[in-house]
Amino acid sequence: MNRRGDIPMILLFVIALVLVVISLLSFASFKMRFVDNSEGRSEILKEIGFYEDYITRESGIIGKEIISKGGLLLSDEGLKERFKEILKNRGFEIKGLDNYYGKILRWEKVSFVRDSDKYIFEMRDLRLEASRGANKMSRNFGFKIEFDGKGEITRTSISEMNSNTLE
Amino acid sequence: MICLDIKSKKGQLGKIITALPVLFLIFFIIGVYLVLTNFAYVFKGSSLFYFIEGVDNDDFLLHEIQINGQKMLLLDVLIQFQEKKIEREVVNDEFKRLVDDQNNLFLLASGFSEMPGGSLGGAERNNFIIRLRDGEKTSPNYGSFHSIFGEYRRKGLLQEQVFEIREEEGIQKFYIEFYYGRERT
Repeated sequence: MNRRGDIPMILLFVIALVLVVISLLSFASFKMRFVDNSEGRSEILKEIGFYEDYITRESGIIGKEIISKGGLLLSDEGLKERFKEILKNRGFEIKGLDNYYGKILRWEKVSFVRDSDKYIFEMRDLRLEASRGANKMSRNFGFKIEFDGKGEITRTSISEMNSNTLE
Repeated sequence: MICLDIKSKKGQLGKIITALPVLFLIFFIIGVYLVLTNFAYVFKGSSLFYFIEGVDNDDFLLHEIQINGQKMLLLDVLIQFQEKKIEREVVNDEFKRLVDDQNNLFLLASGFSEMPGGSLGGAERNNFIIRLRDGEKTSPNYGSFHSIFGEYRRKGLLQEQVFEIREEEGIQKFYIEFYYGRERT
């Protein structure tokens, strides 16, 4: 009997079976590795974003406290000293915020002034860095917070610097 | 010529008849594959749904809280609580204010080891669980803390954030696990 005609059919069956087994094995062994690879980068962005929010909110809270508790009586120098004092009392525990703490303590590229009936707190050239494995990101930014005479925040603005990097 | 044509058609018919069982077999194998993959999905599950749900909690640690008349960020409160500068009762009372009808469950654990929500042997007393049930804000027994944290971790609802903080012993990793939202049953 001539069985040569059946060979392609048998091959088709065998190949289909092999493909099914391979796809089942790959499904069983898949452990969300795509997520693992991108996780490092998304964590870096998340960390930088978190610290940026932390710094602006923390500065807002401190500014509000100073103004609402006798800010009217303080000169610009007094506002500066009071800001440094409150931050010192709160501590400098978080390692990722060294640049922020250092700039406040040295009062470098920072200003906190009264402008007629409002107060303006401003920081420039703040640098945040985060890394995961070989991925590293740094972000340079500045921000400005405006308070009314009672210490309520009326406006917050973030200014982008040109040297943000992602490696 | 006519004889050859009939033979050729017969050959084609024969091929079709031979191919049909193989075709059905392939469909059968695909069917088995689909059934198996569905079973595998049930057992392996997917965390995508929960992951998307958790995104809204990203600024949870930046909540403003009033401690002893002073406004602070939740992260600062936790660090100071860890350093025993703030009493547990004071912190717990303020956390209770965050629990409402929309966010009726508050889980928060912190410590210097991974997964602080699973702490036992007294360390769980640094953690907080506050529920709003029938209009009343309550906390379960400490004994059930690790299982509640474990349940929310398994569901992919518990978020963890790690910070490096300066302690007397040097720089240490400070782990925070939290869930803030509706209670899941």
